[in-house]
Amino acid sequence: MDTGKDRPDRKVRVDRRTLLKAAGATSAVLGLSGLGLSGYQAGRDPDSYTGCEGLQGSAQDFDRKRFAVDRPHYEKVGPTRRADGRTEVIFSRVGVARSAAQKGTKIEDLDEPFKSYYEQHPEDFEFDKQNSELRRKVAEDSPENKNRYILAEAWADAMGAVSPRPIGNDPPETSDFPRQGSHSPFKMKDPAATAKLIKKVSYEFGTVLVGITKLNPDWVYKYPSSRRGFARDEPIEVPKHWEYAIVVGTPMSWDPMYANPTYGTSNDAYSKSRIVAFRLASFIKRLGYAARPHTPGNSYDLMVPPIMVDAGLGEQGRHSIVITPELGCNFRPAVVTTNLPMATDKPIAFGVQEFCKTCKICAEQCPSGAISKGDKEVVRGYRRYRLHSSKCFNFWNSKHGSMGCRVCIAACPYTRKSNWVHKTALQVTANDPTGVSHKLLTGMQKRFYPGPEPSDFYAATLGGKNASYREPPWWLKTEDFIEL
Amino acid sequence: MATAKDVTKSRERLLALAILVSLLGGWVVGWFRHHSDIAGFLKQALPGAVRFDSGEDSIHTGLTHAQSESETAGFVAIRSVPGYAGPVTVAVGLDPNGTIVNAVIVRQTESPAFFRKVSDKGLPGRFRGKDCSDPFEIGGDVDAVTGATVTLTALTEAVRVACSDMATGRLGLPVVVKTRSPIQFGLPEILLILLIVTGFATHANKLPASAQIKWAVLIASLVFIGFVWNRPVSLTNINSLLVGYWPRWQNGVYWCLLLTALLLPIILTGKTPYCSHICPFGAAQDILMRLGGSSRQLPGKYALFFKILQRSLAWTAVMGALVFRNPTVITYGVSATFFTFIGANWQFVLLALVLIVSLFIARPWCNCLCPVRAVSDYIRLLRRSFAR
Amino acid sequence: MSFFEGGLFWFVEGLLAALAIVALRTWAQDKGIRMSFWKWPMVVVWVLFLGVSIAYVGTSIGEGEMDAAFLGAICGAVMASISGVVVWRLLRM
Repeated sequence: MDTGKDRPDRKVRVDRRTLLKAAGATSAVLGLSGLGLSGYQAGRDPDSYTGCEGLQGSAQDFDRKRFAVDRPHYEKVGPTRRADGRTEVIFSRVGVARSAAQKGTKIEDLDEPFKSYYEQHPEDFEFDKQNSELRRKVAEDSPENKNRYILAEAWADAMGAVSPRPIGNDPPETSDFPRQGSHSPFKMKDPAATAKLIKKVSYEFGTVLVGITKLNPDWVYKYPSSRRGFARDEPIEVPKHWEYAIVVGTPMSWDPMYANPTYGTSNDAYSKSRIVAFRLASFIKRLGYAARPHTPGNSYDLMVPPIMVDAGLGEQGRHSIVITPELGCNFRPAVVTTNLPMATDKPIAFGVQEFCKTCKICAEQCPSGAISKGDKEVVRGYRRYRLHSSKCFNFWNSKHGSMGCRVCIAACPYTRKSNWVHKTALQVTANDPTGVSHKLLTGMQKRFYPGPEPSDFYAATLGGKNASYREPPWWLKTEDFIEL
Repeated sequence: MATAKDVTKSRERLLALAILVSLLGGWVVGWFRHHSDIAGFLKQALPGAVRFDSGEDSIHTGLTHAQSESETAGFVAIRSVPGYAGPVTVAVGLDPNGTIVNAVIVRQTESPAFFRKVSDKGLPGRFRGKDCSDPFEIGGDVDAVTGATVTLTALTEAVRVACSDMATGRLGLPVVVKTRSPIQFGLPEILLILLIVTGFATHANKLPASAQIKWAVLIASLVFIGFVWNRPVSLTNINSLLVGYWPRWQNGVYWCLLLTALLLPIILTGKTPYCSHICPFGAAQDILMRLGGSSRQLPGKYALFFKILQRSLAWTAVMGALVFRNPTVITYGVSATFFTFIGANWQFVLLALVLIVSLFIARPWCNCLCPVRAVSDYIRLLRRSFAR
Repeated sequence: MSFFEGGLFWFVEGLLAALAIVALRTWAQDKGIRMSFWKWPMVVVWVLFLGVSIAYVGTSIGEGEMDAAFLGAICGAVMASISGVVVWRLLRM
C-alpha cells in the first residue's frame, strides 16, 4: 500500500531553464520600473534648470548626516582669548611695519598695540618690513615676464569690479537691523523649517555651500580689524543679536585656481560670496530680523574658519583653511550673523585630521614655508596648526599676478574636481577609520601629481622662475592673444 | 700547434686587456679633466661681495669693494661630504653676524631623480636665514626627505661643517664639540650579514631544504634590502669605487658588506651568489617568473644581441663615470625606480617592460641589460685570461 | 563627446559586455577550459580592474594631469599583466 513516505512529493523541479525564464521575467519587470523611476529623476533634474543649474544646491551633495559628530575637531586647551583684529590680522598690522621700515622706527618706538605685538613676535617685524622692498623687486622683472599675466590680471580685476556697498560705520545696533519704521519681526513657525528656507534661498542667491550654527563668541575679534561700526581701540562687546551664524560662499574658478599663484585670483569667489551674503542679509532683514554680512577681502568682525567647522561645512586643514568634502579648500566663505531662530547643523568628521597628520603636501609646496610641518600647537587657547602669516604675506608680495598666493589650496589633495576618481578617493578616506588609505593616497598624490619646486614660485628677480602649480587654461595664456 | 681553445683563450686575453687599457685611459682622462672653478660659486653664496680674499684654511672673505679699503661683506666656505654616489660639495656664505646668506651646490654626482627630491624641497636655498650655530638636524630644523636620506645627510653635513669652520675660524665663536658620526651598525647591517651568510651557504649547498631557504632569503631581501631600505647594489656603487669616492667607513659598513659580497666571490671563484641568491630585483623577477609559470630563456640570436648590448652599455657607463668623475653621469638602472617609485619617465617604461617580460622569460634584466652582470662577466673574463 | 556622458553610453556598454561574456564562454569551450562559478567572477574582476585603469588614464588626460596619466598607465599595464597571467593560469586549472 502506498504511504505518503514512499511516493515522491510534488515538488516544483527548479531546473536551469525555469530559472532562466524566471530571472528573465524579473529582469524585464525591474528594467521597466527602472525606466519609470529614471524618468521621474529626469523630471526633477537640477541640470534641466537651464541657466540656473548652479542655483539648485546640487553641488552640496556630501552626506553630512552620516559623518556628523557632536563636537568639532578643534580642542580647547585652557583659557581662550579672542583675536586682536588690529595686530593678529596681517592686513591690519602690515601698514604700521611698512611706515616703520621707511622711517627707520624701532619696535620700542611704535604705538600700541603694535609695540606689544612686535615685542612678542620680533621676527614678524622683520618680515613685515620687507613687503614694500619685495614688491619693488618684483616690479623690476622683465616686461615679457610681467606681460604674461595681462589676461589673468584683467580677468581678476573684472571679477572684482562688481561689489556690494560696504555696510558703513554705524554701530551694529543700527546697521544690523531693518530700517526704522519697517514692521517688527514676523513670528516664524518652526526653526527647522526656517533653516530649510534659509538654505534654499541661499542657493537661489548663488551660494554653493551653506551651513548654520550658533555663534561662539570666542570667534569674534576682541578688537576690530576694519571700520565697521566699532571704535578701533575699544574691545568689541559681542551684540546679543549675533546669535546665529550662516556660512555661505563660492569656489574660485577651477582652472585658473590650479595655475596659482600667478594666474589665479581670489576676486571671483570673493565678489560672488559677497553678493550672496548681502542678498541673504537683506532677505532676513525683510523678515524683520537683524542680519550682518561678514565678507572677504577684509570686512570681518570675526574669524570664519572655526565658524565653518561649527556649521559642519568641513574640517580645518594643516594650512588653516577649512577643507570641505565637495570643494576641498576651494571655497571662499562669507558669514551672516543674525537673530533669526533656525535649527543648526552639526560639525562633521570625514578623515581630514588623520590625513593632514601625514600628508603635509601644502607645507612642502608652500613657497614661503609659512605652513607648519610639525604637530598642532595651542593658539589662543585652541589646539590647531600654526600658520606664519608674516612669511605668507611676504610671498604675496614676491610674485606677479592678482593679490594672494593660494598654492596651498591648489596643491591640497582634497581640492580636486568632482569626477569619479576623486569622489572615490574622498569616499575611501572618509570611511576608513584606520588611516591606511590616507597614507596610501598621500603617497599616490605625491608621486602622481607632482608640483614645482617651492622656490620656483618666486618672481624671476627674486631668484624664482615665475612658476605656477599647473599650466594656465588656454583663455589666460596672454601670449596666444596679445603681442608680449 | 694552436688549438681552437688556445685561439679563443688568446682572443679573450686580448679583449680583457683592451678593456682594461680603455678603463685606465678613461681614468687618466678624468684625472686631467678634474678642475675647479669656484669663483662663480663664491659670488652666488655671498652676492653682496665684490671680491674675495682666500685664506689658507680655505675660507674666503668677501669684501664689499674692489679697492683695498672695504668692509667685510661676509665669508664663504666650500665643503664636501660623501653622499650616495660621490661627494656633495656646497658653498655656504655667512654674513658678519653669522647668518647664512646663501648656500649653493658646487658639485654633486647623485642620481638626478634622487637629487631632485632634495632640491625640490628648496635645499640648500632653504638654509638661507639660518644661524651658523643652528643644529642642522634632519628631522629637527631640517626636514627629512623620503627616499634621499643619504644625499640629504651629506648636504646638511656639508653645510654644518662649512658653518662651523667659519664660525670658529672667522667669527671667533667657541669651538662646538662636533658629535662624531656614530658607526652605523644596526638592524640593516645585521640583517644584511644574515642574508649574505644564508644566501652563500645555500648557494654552496651547505644547507638542507636549500630551495625553500633560497626563496626565504630572496623574499626577505626583496622586502628589506629592496622596499624598506632601498639599498640594493647598482652600477653606481661600483663606479664610485672605481672613481675613488669611497664612503666614510662609519656609515659605509652596509656598503662594504654588500660590495664585498658581490665582488669577492667573483674574483676568488668566478661565481655570483649575490646575483642568484640575494639581489632583491632578481628576487622580483624570480617571483614574476613563478607567477608566469614558464621559465624560458631568450632564443639564441636575441641572446647574443643582448649580451653585446648589455656589455657595451655597461662599458659606456663606466667610462663615463671615470672620464667625468661622476658615478651617475650615465645611469640606466631600474631597480631603484622599482623600489622607490622615483625616476625619469623612460625608467618607468623600461621597468614596466622588464616586469612584464619577467612573466615569460627568466630574469630578463639580469640576462639582457644589468650592468652589474656585465661587470661580473668582465671579472670572470679577467680570471680566465690571466689566472693560472 | 556628450554621448559618453549619457545613459545611452552605459546601455551600449551593457550590450557589449553581454556580447563579450557570450564570446568568452565560446572561446573557453574551444580552449577546453571549463568555466565554473568562481572563474567567472575572477575574469569579471580582472576586466573591471583593467577597465578602471583605462578609465583612470583617460580621466587624468582629460584633467590635464599628464604625469598621473603616464604613471597610471605604467602601473596599470604592469598590474594588469601580472594579474592577467595569474588569471590565465587559474583558468586553465
